[in-house]
Amino acid sequence: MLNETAVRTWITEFLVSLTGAEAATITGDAPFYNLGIDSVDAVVMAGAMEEHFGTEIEATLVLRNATIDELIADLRESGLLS
Amino acid sequence: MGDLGSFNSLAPLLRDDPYPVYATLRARAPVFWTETEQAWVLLRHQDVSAAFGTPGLLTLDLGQFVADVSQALGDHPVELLRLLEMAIFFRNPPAHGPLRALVARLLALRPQAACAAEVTRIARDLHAPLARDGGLDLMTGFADPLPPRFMGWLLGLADADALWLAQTLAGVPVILNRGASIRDFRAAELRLTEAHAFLRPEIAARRNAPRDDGLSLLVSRNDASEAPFDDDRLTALTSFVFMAGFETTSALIGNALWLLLDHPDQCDRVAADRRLLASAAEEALRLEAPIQQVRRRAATDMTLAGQEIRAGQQIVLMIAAANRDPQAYPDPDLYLPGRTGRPVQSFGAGLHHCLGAWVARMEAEIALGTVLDGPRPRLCIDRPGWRPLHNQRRMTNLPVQV
Repeated sequence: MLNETAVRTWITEFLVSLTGAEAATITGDAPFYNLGIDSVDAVVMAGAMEEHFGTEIEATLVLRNATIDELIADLRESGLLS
Repeated sequence: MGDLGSFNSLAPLLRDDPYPVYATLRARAPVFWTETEQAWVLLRHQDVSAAFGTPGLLTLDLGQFVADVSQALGDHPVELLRLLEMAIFFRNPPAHGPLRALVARLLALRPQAACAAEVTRIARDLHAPLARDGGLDLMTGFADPLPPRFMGWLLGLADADALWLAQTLAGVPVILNRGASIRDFRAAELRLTEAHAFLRPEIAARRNAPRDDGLSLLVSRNDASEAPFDDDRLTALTSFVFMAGFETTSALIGNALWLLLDHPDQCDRVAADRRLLASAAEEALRLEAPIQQVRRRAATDMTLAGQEIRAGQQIVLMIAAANRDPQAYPDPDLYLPGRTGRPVQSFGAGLHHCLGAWVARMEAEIALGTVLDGPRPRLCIDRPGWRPLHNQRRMTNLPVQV
């Protein structure tokens, strides 16, 4: 089971390192696309997330959710979040 | 689905039954932009059909995408990248033409009547256990092995080799789904490495001693061309053709059998009038298109379906929605063998119109006829178990009893 705070923190750090954006601009409701994340980044991010958390993460998880908040809600609905 | 801008065809709720959502959207906004998918979405038959025929709409290069993902990870999936380089439907002119010409030659190797006779032989052979054992999984025991055995025959591979190749490559087409994971790419690379280790010597053997078969034809036509592919690419092309020949055709055969057996009244009609067989297969193509959507990219600024599209923007051609457009098909959700009307969009149109469309239609028609020749099977499932993929409409199992 994943932990919401850990997932949020990890995604923020991943996006900061990928885009060079200030962590403060990476809010829960900021669209990934506006942060400069394209579909290649989305697949890479899902893969990195899978490795970091040691659980299967579909690449569609990032592609089908526009923001961190949506992604978290999706994980919860899929029963992956405690 | 209230907000068009957040529409996403990857949403889990669209997986099993996307059609009611498409119907609602089509009535409300047949063409719209989605922020989430960063693409225009076309849902009407006339718009999807026109888009397939628009030369300024280019196919997306999945090879470039996989190369970019792999580079970010430090992966080197050489076999996978070569496969995608040879995947006709991901290539634009000028690379597209020579690939397509070579595969067109292969598909024209045997007269269509000889192909039909072979498909009939394979279908009867695979169907025989149903009467003998009283039950059969029409997916794993029939629809899955039929097309690879036909492709094996065409290429000149032994039945056992063709089935081994199909099993080895079975997981690879998953990468065609937008949102395939790194895991899928890495698995595909391993499977392709294994398959190509088998195919390379086969190709070399045909060059040394040509036979009367499809592999020999590929080699000789390639070697005689102005800019021949090397053997690594010829091997990748063979894998591609083999997969293109089984993946969606197996899906179609399964979907066609499901629809026929799930509609006993229509099944009686078709059984009594075999002229309806082709149309029964066509209805399966229409209602459950094996490929549900394709993407294109605008090469230039253009007007499409009344919308100004800018160069570089992507467009989703929603085949699954176009095929159920009430403007094109009255009572579009009804399974109605014998229906006439507009061409289904499942094989695309224009430059990338499916080269093997006639093979797929023939295999589906013969598969349905073969099952109807035997004792009438009863479905052992209430609803189809679709693979959990948004873009490939394909069942996992179709168990029946007699």
